[in-house]
Amino acid sequence: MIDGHAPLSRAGKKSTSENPIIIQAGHLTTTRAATVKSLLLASGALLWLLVFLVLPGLIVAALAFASRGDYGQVLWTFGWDNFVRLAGWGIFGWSADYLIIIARSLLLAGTCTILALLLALPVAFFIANQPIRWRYLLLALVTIPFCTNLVIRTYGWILLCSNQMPPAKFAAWLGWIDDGTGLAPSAFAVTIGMVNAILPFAVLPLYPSIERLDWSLVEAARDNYASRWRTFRHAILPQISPGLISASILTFIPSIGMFVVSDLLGGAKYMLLGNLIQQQFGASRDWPFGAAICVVLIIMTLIGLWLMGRRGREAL
Amino acid sequence: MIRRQHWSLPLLGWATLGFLYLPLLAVAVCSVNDSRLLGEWHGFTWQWYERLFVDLKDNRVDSTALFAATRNTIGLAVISTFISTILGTMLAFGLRGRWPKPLTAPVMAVVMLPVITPDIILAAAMVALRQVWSLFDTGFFTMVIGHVTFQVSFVALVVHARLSHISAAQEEAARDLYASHWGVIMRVMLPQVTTAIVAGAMLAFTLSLDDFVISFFTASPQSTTLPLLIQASIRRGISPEIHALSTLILFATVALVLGVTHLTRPRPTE
Amino acid sequence: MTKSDGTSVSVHAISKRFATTEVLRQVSLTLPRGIFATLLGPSGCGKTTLLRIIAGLEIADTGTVHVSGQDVTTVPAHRRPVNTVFQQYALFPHLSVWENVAFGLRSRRMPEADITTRSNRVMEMLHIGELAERRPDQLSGGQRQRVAVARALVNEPEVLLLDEPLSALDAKLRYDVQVELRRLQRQLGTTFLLVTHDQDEALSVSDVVMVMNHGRIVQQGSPREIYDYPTSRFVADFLGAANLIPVNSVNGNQANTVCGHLHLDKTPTWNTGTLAIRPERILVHSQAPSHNGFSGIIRDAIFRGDHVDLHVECAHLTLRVRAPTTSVCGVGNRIYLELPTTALLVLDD
Ligand SMILES: Nc1ncnc2c1ncn2[C@@H]1O[C@H](COP(=O)(O)OP(=O)(O)OP(=O)(O)O)[C@@H](O)[C@H]1O
Ligand SMILES: [Mg+2]
Repeated sequence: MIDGHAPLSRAGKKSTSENPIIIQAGHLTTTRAATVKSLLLASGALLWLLVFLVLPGLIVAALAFASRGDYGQVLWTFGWDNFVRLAGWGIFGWSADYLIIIARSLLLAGTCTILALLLALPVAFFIANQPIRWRYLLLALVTIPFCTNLVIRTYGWILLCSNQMPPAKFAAWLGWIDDGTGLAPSAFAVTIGMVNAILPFAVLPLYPSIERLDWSLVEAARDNYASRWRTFRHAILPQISPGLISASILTFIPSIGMFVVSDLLGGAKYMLLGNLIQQQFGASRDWPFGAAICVVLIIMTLIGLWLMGRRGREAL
Repeated sequence: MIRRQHWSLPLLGWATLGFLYLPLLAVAVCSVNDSRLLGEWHGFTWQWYERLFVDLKDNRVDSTALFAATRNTIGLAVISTFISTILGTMLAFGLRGRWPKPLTAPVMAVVMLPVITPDIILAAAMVALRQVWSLFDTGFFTMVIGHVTFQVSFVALVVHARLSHISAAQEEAARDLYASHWGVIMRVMLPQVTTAIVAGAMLAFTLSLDDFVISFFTASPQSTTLPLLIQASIRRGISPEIHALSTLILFATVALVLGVTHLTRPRPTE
Repeated sequence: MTKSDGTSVSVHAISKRFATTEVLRQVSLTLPRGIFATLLGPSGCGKTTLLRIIAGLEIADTGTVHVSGQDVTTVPAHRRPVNTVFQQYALFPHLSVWENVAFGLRSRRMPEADITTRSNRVMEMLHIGELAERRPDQLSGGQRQRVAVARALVNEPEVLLLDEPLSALDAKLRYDVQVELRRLQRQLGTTFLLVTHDQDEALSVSDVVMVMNHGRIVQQGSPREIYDYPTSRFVADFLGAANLIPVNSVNGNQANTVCGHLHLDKTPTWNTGTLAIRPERILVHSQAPSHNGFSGIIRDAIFRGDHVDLHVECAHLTLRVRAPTTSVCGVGNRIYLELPTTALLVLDD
């Protein structure tokens, strides 16, 4: 009477071969109903991101190929003019100005990432070496500055770099800068301010991999009379490389697009991609050109991510 | 386990932590210095703080504008955090469920997008949106939209990370012990993710408070926020009133962070 | 379909496939009330899947499940009078031991007083009364296991399903818990269905053993029956590692094997097939026995304390023999084995 018949034709739900009835986490449902539920739950946020991020992103991409009218309005023509201009060809012939800005941005972001990692490593080792109750306190100490406003932190550096403060006076006494000038605006001030801003992004992802470190490998290396560097290279580095990679991604991304710090500490001549974009969308009102710079910035970010992701896979 | 450490490690550790706090300290110290000049200590004073709350002729920070900016900042943070926490939590629960295979990768990409995109690009995107759709002209409404856009993924990722630590067997055990579908959510899932939701909301809140770039591109003169106000004042020159205002904001942020950390701290028994 | 009052669980013709793998094939079983039954089988044979189908956590493609006479095939887990002890325990980490135990009663909105008395009683029974305020991560493996059992038993289910509850415990503790589970089951009279891949566990605790292989129940019966009279090569080998002797041809009650002729006490139904004999049923002699004797060379001798395990090579066959320590058993020596007629098992396949 019941041999071999499908039990669920009686389940009150229709079971078909494309839409079988399943039990998910103890809940009787069908594949389709379960999928619809996940989609519905996620739909609010996903739609939001589609409408306010993906769609505008596509508009930016489209804008990059448009051109600016005489009064700053957008003319929906299609052309590579903006990119050509970014590569240096302007109405007055070729100049390296924009390329220098791009190179400077990359160089600065790279330098800041490396400096932040170099500072973050000892901090993370130091924290991981403390008794447990201290570790959380110290990690909180790293997190707090990260939660404070970047404009205010940068302002702190403006104060510290001002010509009336001891650091500038000391530098002047050493003869590095002229008497009466401050340390800011300068590339040096921007670098310090940016390293300071991104340092927590380096410590926080690095810390877990250092806390989990298997020290027996390090001891084994030591037992084999490996030098300090070789011990680090072969016993420690492979273990912390996932942390190092996420730390470098998380520091590189904010550095490449940063414009608050360079705006306040770099002065008018020290332009980065971020400032250039801001200028186009603000004062110059050249949105298509600004959009083209955005496209280049995004492409550089993606290349950076891809490179680090590849290095990451190799390291693992 | 505590290992013997080289003497330079604590030194470097503390020095770097000091480096993190140096700018904050500089602002706080200058804010109570009884002098408009930097670099010389003229004794302790509260006068710069007092000046924030009254309109004086030579005051560099306009107190009416300050009140408006404070209201805008907090209003913006509260509203955007509220929306992004709800959307982000739902997204995290949705990601835990069943997905058609071909959709998984693109959906994860969209979720990661706000995290990996430099915020200047998010801001440019909001500007571009207003170019084609005048509803999103500068102002409070557009600022909320912009803030939620970058907050929502952070909330979702924090909550999702916690959710993925809850085994499916726990849900099944709850069902096996006669819990209804709703009961599983209320008695098993939510209690285990509340701290993550609070942490996500708090992250969203600080992200909003800290944001300068997106607000800069989407604010109208009436919807200026504190970071914008400070930046505008700094461009006009440094002044003790800005030190005082900045210090107040610093302390408010630290109090907020400590408060929430205290609320969400792991219980000693756990 | 009506069921007699004495039946706890009855599973009829259950089949289940995951994508392309057939995990269960037409499985049927019946558990009388108050019995301690075990599902025994190698890893991956479908034990957990069958248990989950009975619990309502998985759905069968075909077939029916009845619990105390009721058809529950399409009834969701939370409405079945069945409780499960999960393989990894799946305790709720955010709740205290007491709240974990009370969880099921809370779900059923029992009066608080009843919840307290019932929870406390079960926790006493399992000796976890003093752990009430702890959280699961503050417990040892054995304690967690008790909490998981208490959490299920407090609901007084018609049948308690246990999915390898002892696999995470060390040998000594496992033995203690086996004894205790047996005691609990007798005391409460609840039907227990235990899943295991450990044959000793199955033989020592249960009233009925069901041996599974490749999604089928291949034999079921009391531990004695299963052990003494396996009907298939798989069961003979899986329980107690019997020696399998291929038979080339049969002549009445006489079977011809590679090592010689063997007398059987019944005529097999096949002409070529397999005989089995347990290592401890083989007798060791220094001279050729009159009846059913093989001669062979000792290839290996492993001293086990109370006995010696010998690997004896007879023609192309290596037989495992469990010999008393008093027997002569130098490696390389020739000895004579007697395979008593009563100890020879004629397998079906
Ligand atoms: N959800 C699933 N999806 C796909 N295949 C599954 C699923 N669950 C189980 N299987 C497969 O079904 C088979 C039987 O699994 P099951 O868990 O029932 O085995 P088991 O007898 O309990 O094994 P063990 O002793 O290792 O626990 C295995 O081959 C397994 O890979
Ligand atoms: Mg299993």
